[in-house]
Amino acid sequence: MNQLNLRKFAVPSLLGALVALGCASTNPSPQLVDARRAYDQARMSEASKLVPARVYTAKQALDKAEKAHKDDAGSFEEKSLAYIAERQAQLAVSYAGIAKAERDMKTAQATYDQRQQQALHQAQTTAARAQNQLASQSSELEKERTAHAAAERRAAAAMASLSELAKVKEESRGTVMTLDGSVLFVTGKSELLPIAREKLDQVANALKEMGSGESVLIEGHTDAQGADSANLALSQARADAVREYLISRGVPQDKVRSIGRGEQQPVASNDSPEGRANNRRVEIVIQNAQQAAASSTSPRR
Amino acid sequence: MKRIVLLGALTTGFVFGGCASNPVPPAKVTDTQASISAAEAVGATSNPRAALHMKLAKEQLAQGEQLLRDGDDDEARLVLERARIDAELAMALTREEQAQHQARASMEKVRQVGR
Repeated sequence: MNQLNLRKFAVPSLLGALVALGCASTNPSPQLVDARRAYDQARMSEASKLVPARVYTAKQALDKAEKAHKDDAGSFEEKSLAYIAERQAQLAVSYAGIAKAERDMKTAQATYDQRQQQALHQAQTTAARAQNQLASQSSELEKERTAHAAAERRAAAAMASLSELAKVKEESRGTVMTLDGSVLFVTGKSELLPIAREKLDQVANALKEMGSGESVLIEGHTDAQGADSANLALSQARADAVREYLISRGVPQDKVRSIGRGEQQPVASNDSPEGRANNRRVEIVIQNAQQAAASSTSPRR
Repeated sequence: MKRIVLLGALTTGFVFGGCASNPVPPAKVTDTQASISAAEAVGATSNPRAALHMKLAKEQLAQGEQLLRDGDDDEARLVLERARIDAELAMALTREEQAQHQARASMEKVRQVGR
């Protein structure tokens, strides 16, 4: 390539030199000088690579001008052909400029398109990921909601089954379920009757459905017959028996406390047999954290 | 004889010396006019680099037409060709600048999209 350029360059120069030698008195016209310079610039520019055909056309135009100079130096034809040759060389450079700009534009456009495509793809990926996340979050939420609803339903059902077993009352100290003492125990004893076990099984099942914040307090009560201290001991023993049984049926140990109240908290008169029967009882109190705290600090009488 | 002269004119491109009688075809004038119109159409007249060549093209077109009327066909042919090449160069320079402008705009667009 270099050698070829050298030769291309050498030919017109040599031709010019020969002409100069042949007719020493006739110098090339200023137009021819300009044309040679313009051609050399075009030949050494990017035009040789980008628009070689144009550079060749410029070369042919210069050759014509050189020939006219040789044949009739200083003629109008020489000057005109040189004028044309100079512009042919400038045209080659300009066409190379156009080709280069168009190439740059295409490259830029391709890069732009590619980046747009990437940005779009990224946006779609992000959106899809967000959608998935949202979907899994809402399904998680839905699961939790379902589980919570089921737990509440079970708790309500358990409570309903308890209210069939015994008297249930809402009091400030909690939900109070009262079990008839005669159903649970033989008079004066603290061993549970078989029928009591059956009932307490259902109580245990209901208590197992309690919320985590709730706990159970089991209170034993007696009537006023007999010594206070004996009644207190009996009521404590009975409450303990119920507590032990509930724990044995799966109610968490730390959720159940028991206390004997003796004859101190009658619900009816101890003067009649019916009143005394009502006073002989076990109360199962389901308490929330606040109620539990209040009852554990209240003084024992 | 005329045939040989014509052949000579084709190979060397232009007639010179003793062949002054060779007529300029009318298409030479219309070709030049068409080149000037085409350059004007792309805005060559208002392009700083192209404007000079537009001026030269128009002047030389008028000059060539005058030479034709005077019967100086050989000189007219050269002058008309000079006018035509100036118009062509004016158009190329205008298109070159427009293409460069578009290329810069495209590259700027890419730069704004960023990476």
